[in-house]
Amino acid sequence: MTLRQPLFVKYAALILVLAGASLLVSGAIEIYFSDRQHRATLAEVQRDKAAAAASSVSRYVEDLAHQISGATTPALDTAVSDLEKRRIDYLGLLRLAPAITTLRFVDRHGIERIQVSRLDADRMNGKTDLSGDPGFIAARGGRVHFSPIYFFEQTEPYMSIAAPDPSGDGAVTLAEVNLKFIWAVVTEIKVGEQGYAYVVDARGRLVAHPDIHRVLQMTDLSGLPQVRAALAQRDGTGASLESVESAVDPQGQPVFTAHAAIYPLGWHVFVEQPRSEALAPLYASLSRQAIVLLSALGLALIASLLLARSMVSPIRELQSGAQKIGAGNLGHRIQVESGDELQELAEQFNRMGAQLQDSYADLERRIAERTRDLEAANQGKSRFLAAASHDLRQPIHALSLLAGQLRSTGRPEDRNRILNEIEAGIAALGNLFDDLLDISKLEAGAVTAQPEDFAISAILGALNAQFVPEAQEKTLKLKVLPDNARVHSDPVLLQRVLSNFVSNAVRYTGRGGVLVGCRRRGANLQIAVWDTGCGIPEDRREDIFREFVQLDSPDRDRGKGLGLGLAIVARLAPLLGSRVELRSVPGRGSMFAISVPLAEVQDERNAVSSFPPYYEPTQGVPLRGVFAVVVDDDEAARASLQGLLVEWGCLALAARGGTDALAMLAQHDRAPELVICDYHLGNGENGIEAIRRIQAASECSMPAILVTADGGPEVLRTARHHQYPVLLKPVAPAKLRALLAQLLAKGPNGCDKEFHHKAV
Amino acid sequence: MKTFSLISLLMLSLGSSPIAWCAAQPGKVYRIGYLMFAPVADTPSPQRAALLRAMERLGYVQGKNLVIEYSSAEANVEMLPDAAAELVEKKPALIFAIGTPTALAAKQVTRTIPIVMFAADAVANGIVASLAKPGGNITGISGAQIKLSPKRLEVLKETVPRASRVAVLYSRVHPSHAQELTAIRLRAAELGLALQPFDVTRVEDLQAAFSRMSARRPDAILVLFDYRTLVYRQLISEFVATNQLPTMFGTRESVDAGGLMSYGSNLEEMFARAASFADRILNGADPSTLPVEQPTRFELVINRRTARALGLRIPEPLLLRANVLIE
Repeated sequence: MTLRQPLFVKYAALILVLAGASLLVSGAIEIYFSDRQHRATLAEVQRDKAAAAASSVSRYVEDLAHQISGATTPALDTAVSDLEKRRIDYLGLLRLAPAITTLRFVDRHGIERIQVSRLDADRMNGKTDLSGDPGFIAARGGRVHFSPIYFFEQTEPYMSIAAPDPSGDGAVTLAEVNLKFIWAVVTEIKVGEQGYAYVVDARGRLVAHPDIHRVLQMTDLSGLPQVRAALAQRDGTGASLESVESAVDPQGQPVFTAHAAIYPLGWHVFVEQPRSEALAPLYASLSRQAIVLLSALGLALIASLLLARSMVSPIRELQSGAQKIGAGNLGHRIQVESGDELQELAEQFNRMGAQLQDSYADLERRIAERTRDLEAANQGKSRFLAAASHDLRQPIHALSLLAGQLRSTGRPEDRNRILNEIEAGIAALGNLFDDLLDISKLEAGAVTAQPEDFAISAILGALNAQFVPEAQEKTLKLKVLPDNARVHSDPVLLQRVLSNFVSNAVRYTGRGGVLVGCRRRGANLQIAVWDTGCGIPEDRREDIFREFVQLDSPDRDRGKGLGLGLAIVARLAPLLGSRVELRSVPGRGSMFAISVPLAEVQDERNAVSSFPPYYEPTQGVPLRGVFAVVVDDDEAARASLQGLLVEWGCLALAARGGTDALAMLAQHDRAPELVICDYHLGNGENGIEAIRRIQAASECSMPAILVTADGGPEVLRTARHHQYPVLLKPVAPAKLRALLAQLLAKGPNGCDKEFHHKAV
Repeated sequence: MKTFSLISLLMLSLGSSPIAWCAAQPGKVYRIGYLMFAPVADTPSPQRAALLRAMERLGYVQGKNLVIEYSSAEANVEMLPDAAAELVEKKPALIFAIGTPTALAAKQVTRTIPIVMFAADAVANGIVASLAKPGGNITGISGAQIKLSPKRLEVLKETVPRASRVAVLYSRVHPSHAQELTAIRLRAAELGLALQPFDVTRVEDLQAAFSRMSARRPDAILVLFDYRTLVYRQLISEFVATNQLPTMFGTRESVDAGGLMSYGSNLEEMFARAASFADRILNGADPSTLPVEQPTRFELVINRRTARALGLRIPEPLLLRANVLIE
C-alpha cells in the first residue's frame, strides 16, 4: 500500500488552519482592543493624577497667598503701633509657613516699611522704594500676584507672592517663598513603580521633582516634547497620551505622560511613567495571550490531527477492506464503528461481500449441479449410445444371418423369401436410424418449428401411403379419414409425430385396425390415431414417452423399433406448441392425439375427398425403358441404385454430380424422364441444384426424387418447398418402386420430345 | 497647613523619597569612609546616628552591606591631612567629611574618591565652584553661616535689648569665620553693638577667652558655629552659666547643654539629607552633577530655664519667633 496520506493531511491542515486562523484572529482582535483599553486607562489614571497634583500645588500656593494676605489683623492693643503689630503678625506667619523666608510690608506708596526674614536682616522703616515692583503694582490693584520663579543663588527656587493688604488701602505684603517646600506635594504622587510627577514653571524650568537635586540645578526641561506641548497649550489639561506620543524623560527614555496646568501660576505638573513600565502589563498580557494562543494552537494541532485521523481512519478501513474484497478475499468484513454514513458504507461493502460470497457459492453449486446434470446427461447419452448400439446390432445380426442364408440357398422361392426378410430388416434398420437421428437432433436442440398454413390432407395422404402396405401385411385395417381443414403448424414435424403415432398403432395392434381422423376442437384441429391394440396401463403412460421404452416387450422387441417413437413425439410436441393426448383402455385399445391450431383461412380448394389408390409394387407401372438419371457422390449408393433401376428395366445413368450428369446426358439425345438425386453431393453441391441443372439442360421438369441420409427437417423442408419427394436412406426398394409408379403415373410431362441437350 | 508643613518637613528631613531612585543593590557590600574632626566615640553622636539611620532606610545597613571606616583628627586641625590621607588609602567608595576644614582637607587629599561634605559656605570657602554645579568630586550639605551669623546677632540683640557689647567666639583657622566676622561687624554697626572677638581655636584659647571675658564682661556672647565650639559646648555652657552671660549658639545641641538660645538649621535633619547624596553616589552618580544642598529650615531654640536663671525676660515677638522652647 502506498504511503500517500493526502486525505489525512488535507483534513488535518484544514482543521488546523480553521482553528488556528480563528484563534489568531480572535487573539489579534483581543490584543488590539486590550491595548487600546489599557492605554486609555493609563491615560485616564495619569490625567487624574495630574489634575489632582495640579490642584494640590495650586491649593498650596493659594493657601500661602491667603495666609499672606490675611496675616494682619486689626490691632487690639493700641499700645502697640500698627507697624509693630504688623511685624509681630509677620513673625507669626513665619512660624506658620516655613516656606516663607522673608516678609515685607510695602505701603501704598511703594515704600518698604517692614522686613521680617529668617536669613536677611529684619528692618523697620527701611524706606526702600519698591513702587516699581510688578508684584507691588499688581497687588496694589487688589490682586494676588505670583512672580515668575527665580533661582536664589542659582540654586534655590523662589517665588514672590504679593498680596494686597486686607485693609484695602493699597498696601501690599510681599513674601519670598522657598519653593523647595512644594517638593513634598510632588513626591507623594506615584504611578506604578517608576512613575513620578514633576512641576515646571511657565518657562519649562523644573520647580519641583522627587529628586530634589534636579530642581537645585535649575534644570530646563522646555526641550522635552511633552513640556513644549504643554507650554504651547498654556491652558487646560492634556490628554497627552495621544498627543504626546513622543514624550521622553530627560534621559531620553520614552515615557507616558499626562500634564495639568496649575492655576494661576502658569506652571504645569507632569505625571510620567516610563513607557516600558506602563506597557509592562500590556506586554505581560500580550505574552500571556501569546502563550495561551500558542498552547491553543498546539491543542488545535493535536485536535486537528486526532480529528483528521478519526475522520480518515474509517475511510482507510473502507479502502483497504474494498481492496481486500476486490482482491478476492470475500470473507473480509470491514470494521467501522463511527456511527455515521461511513459505517453504513462499510456495512454496504460487507453486504456486497456477503452477496458476492453467496453468489459464488451459488454459482459453484449450480456449476456442480450443472456438471452433475451434464455428467448425468453424458451418462445418459452414453447409456443411450450403448443401448442404441446394442439395439442396432440385432437387426444387423439378423441381416447378416439372412445374407448368409441367402448365400447358401439355391432355390428362388427361398431366395425371394429371404430377400424380403432382408428388405424388411433393412427397412427396420432404416427406421431405427431415422429415430436415432431424430432424437439426437431434438436433443441437440437443432430442431425448430417453422409453422405455416397448409392442408392437413397432405399429411393424411402421406400417412395413408406410408402405412397401408404395412397394415395390409399385418392384416390390419388402416383407415385414414380425409379432412379439408387447413392448419397452422410445421408440416414436417407434424407429419413426424403423426407418423410415429400411426407406426406405433400399426406395430402394437395385433388384430383389428387403426383409424386416423380429425376433429375440430374450437380453434384447434385434433388429429387422433385410434387402435385396437393391447392398450397402455395407467401406470405406464409416462414411461412410454421415454427413450427405449416399449410396452409389452420388457426386453425390447427389436422388430418393433428402438422405442424412440414416442420419445421423439414427446420432444416434438412442445416445439409445435401442442400437447399429446393419450387415452387407453388396456385390452381394448388406445388413442393418441395431437392438436394444432387451425389456419385462419380455411380454403376449400384442393379439397381431397379420398386419397389416390395405393399401388402394389407388384402391380407396377411398367418401368421398362424409362430413362433415369441417378446422381450420388457415393459410389456404392450410386452403383446399387443404378443396378436396381436397371433390374427394373430402366435405362439408368449414374453420375457423381450435376456436372457429371450433364456431361453424360449430352451424349444422349433424350431428356431423362426421372432424376434420382442425393441431397448432399460433393463440392458443396446440393441435390436440388443438380436437379435444376438437369431440368434446365433438358428444358423440361421431369419428376425428381431426392434421396438423402440426412433425416433432418431442413432437407425435408427444402424438398417440400421445391416439391420434390424425399426418400431417406436406406431406401426400401418397394417404396422406391411405389413412388416411381406414382410419379410416372402422372403422365407425360412434355419431356418426351427428342432434343439435343445443351452443352453444359 | 500645619500638618502639611510638618509632613513636608519630615519628608525633607528624612531625605528619603518614596521613590527609590537608587537603593542599595543586593549582594553588594559598600565601604565608605567617615572623616571627622572630633574623636570617634563608641556611641555615635545624634548627628551621625541620624545619618546612619537615613542610610539604613535607603538600604545600607552597617554590619550587613555597609562597612564604615572612621578616621579622626582628634580635634586637632593639624592632624586633618593625615587622617584624610589614611582614609583615602583604604580606598572607600566615598568619604563623609564632617566639618568645613575636614571637607577642605579631604578635597586636598583626593580628587577621585567622591566626598560628601557637611560644611558651611561651601562656595565662600572654596570647596565647590557653585552650589548648583559643584564640579570636582565633592558635594554635600552646606550651611549658610555667613548669612546666619548676623541674624543670630540680631536675634541676640532682640533678646537682650540693653546689650551694647557682644563677645564673639570664633576660630582663626576656620576658613570662613573671617567672612562671618565681617558680616557680623556690619550688622553690629547697624545694631549699635560693639564686638569683642575671641579666637578659640584650641582649648587653651578657650580658657584664655574665658578669663578675658570674666575680666571684662560682655553683655552677651555670640558663638560662631564650628565643630570645635560644638565639641566645647559643655565647657562654654558651664562658663556662661556661671557668668550669667546670655549666649547665642549655632545649633540646639548647645542649648540642650544649657546655653540660652540657638538659631540655625537642624543638624540631624541635614545629616540625614547627606545620606541621599551617598545613595546617589554609591549607585554611580557623578558628585559633580549633584548640587550642594543648603538647609531649608531654620529653628530658633530658646532655653527658658536658662533664661530664668539669667533673669532674662524673653520678649513676646521672640517667643513667637521661637520654634523650640526648652523648659
